[in-house]
Amino acid sequence: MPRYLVRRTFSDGLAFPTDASGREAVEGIVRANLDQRVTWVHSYVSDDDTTTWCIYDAPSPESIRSAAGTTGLPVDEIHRVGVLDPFFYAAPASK
Amino acid sequence: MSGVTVQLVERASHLATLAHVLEESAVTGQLALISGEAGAGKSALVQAFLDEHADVRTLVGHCDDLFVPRPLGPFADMARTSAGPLSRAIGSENAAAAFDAVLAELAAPPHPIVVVLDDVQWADEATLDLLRFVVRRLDTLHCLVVVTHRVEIAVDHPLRRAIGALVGPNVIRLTVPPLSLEAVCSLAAGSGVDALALHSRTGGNAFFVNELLAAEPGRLPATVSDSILGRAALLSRPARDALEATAVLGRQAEIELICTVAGCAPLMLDECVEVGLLVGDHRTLAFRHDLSREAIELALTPLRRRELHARALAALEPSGDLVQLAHHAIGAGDSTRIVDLAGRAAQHCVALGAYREAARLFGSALEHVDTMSPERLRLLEGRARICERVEQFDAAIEAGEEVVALYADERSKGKWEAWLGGVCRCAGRSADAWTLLTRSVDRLDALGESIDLARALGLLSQHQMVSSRNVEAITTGQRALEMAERLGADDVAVHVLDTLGSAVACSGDDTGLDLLIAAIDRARRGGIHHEITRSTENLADALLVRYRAAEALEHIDQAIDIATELELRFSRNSLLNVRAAALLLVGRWDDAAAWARAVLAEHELAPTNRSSALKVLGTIRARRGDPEATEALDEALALALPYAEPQLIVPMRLARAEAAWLAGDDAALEREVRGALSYVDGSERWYVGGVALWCWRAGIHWQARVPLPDQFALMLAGDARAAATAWQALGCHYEAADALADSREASDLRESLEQLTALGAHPRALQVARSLRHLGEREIPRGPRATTRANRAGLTAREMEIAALVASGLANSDIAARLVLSPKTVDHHVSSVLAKLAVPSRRHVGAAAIALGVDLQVEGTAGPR
Repeated sequence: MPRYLVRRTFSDGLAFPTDASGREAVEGIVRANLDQRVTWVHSYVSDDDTTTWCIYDAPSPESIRSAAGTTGLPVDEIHRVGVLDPFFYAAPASK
Repeated sequence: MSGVTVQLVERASHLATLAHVLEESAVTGQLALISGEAGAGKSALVQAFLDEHADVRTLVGHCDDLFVPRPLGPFADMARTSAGPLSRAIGSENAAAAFDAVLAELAAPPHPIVVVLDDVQWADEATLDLLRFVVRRLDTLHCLVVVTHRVEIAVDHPLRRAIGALVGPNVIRLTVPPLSLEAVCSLAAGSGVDALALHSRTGGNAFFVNELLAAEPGRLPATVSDSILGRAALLSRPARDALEATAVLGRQAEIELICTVAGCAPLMLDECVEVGLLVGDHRTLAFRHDLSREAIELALTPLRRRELHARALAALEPSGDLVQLAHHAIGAGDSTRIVDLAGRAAQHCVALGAYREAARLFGSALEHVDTMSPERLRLLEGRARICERVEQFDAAIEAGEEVVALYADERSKGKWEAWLGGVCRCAGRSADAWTLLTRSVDRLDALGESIDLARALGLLSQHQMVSSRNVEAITTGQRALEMAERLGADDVAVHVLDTLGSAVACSGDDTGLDLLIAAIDRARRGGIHHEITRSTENLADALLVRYRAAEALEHIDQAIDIATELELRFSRNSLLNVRAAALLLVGRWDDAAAWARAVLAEHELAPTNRSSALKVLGTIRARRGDPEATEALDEALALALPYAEPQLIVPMRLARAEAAWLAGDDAALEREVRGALSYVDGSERWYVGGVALWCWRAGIHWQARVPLPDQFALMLAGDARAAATAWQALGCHYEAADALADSREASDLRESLEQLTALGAHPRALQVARSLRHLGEREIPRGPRATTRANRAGLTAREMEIAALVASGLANSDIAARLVLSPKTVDHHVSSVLAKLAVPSRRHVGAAAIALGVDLQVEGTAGPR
């Protein structure tokens, strides 16, 4: 399944408290994503909590938009991305 | 029994859910879809549920893993346990009667009724149809329909589509997941089996777990299959024969039949029951799980399998179900019997609407029929027509070519050449289609006037029309129409009328639309359903070419229903593509993308249909700035090119030009525009307008030789405001905002930016923001206003306000007075609301808003200011 990076803007700031309410909110999003076969891998959140960059595995850009329609999350941009991992290029440890 | 009990663990919540929906079914019918991998315990769950509610009336039907499924097999099972109308109707070859009988059976007391359809991954198409038919009427039936199916089915399995379509408030979906480690531990407790190893080996598959636990402790077989075969090996030779016979007969079979096929005494079957491989009652026996049946059947030597199938065939004849008999004939490898039985079973399937099964059976029969046999021609004709019907064009063409070659007389040859030419056109084999159609017309013309000739001329005219040779198409079509009318061939006349209408419309003459409407009317009066759908499709296409999307949407719904009912898949997919393209034009991109994706999810899609759906999807992605626009549009073009039809290629090139332009790829923009230019001769003037616009944007000097539609002419003349108004009048929001974006006035640009942002058209919005900065504007809005984002129709705050007042029944003049606006401004807003909600009149605003989830609040605006 392709991987996507989605930028979202929360002008009022984003809050997921680390308690039951936060868990409920996150679980709700995960469930809504599931209907579209979208998997939320993880997100990076800006220090001021207004922007997130979220990594998803999803069948198509539309599935991400549909899921966002259900969860009510804003979508600024969707990019299809791959992984470049520096450790992949690291020289083998010399003995 | 040697300790083989199916223990139901971790299924309590499912049983509770089923009990709950059974209660609900007293009010409205309910459907429970139970899925899980093979061996997850779906059937065991259903059995436990039925045991808990033993007092409730139950109808149970199984689907079997046959070479070709029995049409309406599970309902035949039900008919056997019921004395009602069902048993009579299932025997007949009348699908409609069977459908009605099932409804009658379900409507008859006592209620509630639990209807179980087990293992529908092996169901025939007619059964899936009947299931859909029942589910659509659930709200009037007091029954609970329980359907189980495996999850591991192929991507192109018809069940995926069927299951996907089963949605609604009365449908619940239950998944039977693999057992957890805890559950396996509790099951294995006291058995001396290492539960951890057992869990990892079985993946928690309830069947495997139970199987392995049932095996002797300390002597665990290497694989579960071995465990089943190992258990079978414990049987005496006659009992083993009986087991193998049962495996060949299917998941379950009557005891008497098993004994006949196996040549054993009934007592031998007790052994199989004792080792836990078979379960049953006094009349029938079944494998406790189908995996064991598969394991036993797979282990048969080819000769043994043939022998058993031959005996099953002999035992079931002559009264057995045709498809079942054909299944055994195929298994027995008995050529003569295969040709006879598979051929007849195929006809039987055709009569019941199980087309895919029919195509396969014709195929089996053809593999075994003698090349010189007269029977071969009949089978080929059957296969050719059925394959065309289910869009297996290559197979249809292969069979059709042999039919043409086999016929010696000129009339039959010509008739089949015409048919084959039509299929070749659908399959994108344009050159073959020309050769076949012209040859057919020449051949039949030499024999004088006939209905066959009229039909061949009609097909030739159609091919000329789609190749944009409209003048020839009209000449050929008129000759065909006159001939068809003289000979009283109504269906041919309607077909030609439709082609003529399209050809006239394509040549830029709007009277073609009237001809198409006449064709639809005539098809309706004559009850010629496939022509209703085809003419509607052509009318909708002609409207879409003219950007009249709202009208196109009005026409297609009924045609989609007809195509769905009659399983006219090609038409249905084409019509769904029309719907997607129309929704794209009226700015409902989410819905457009959803319909395009629904088409793309279909299996064995005709190239044109796949191409159109990809074009819609690629355009939406490009306009949103989403990824994978290029991939979609590249495949769309690759699929369209072999057709060499200007009406496909010009708009495709223009869509790709737009995507390249939005992505800032000037080289690709020029390449695509030149690609469109090479096909534009003779195109409809709206296409010419598009080509002129993109030539202008690509900086290519080109002068159209026909007058352009106003919308394009105004854009090219630099009158952005007037062009936008003209596009808005057609209900084309993106086109309007796009036109306005070419303006040099800051106020126009701001309005365009707002509209583009509301549509989610980011790349074009960025271009406009850049233009605004060039003009020295500051404080350029960056995102959609929260209020616009909140509703799916993309209504602005003012439009929401006005929509609420329209819905409350106020006239435009009253609204203008209340909001202190000029009546003209209100008129403008109201037409914009109607267009965005895609409704024909103001009476529909309220309902459409609710359907779209738009919250129209009248408070705050209701009182005078």
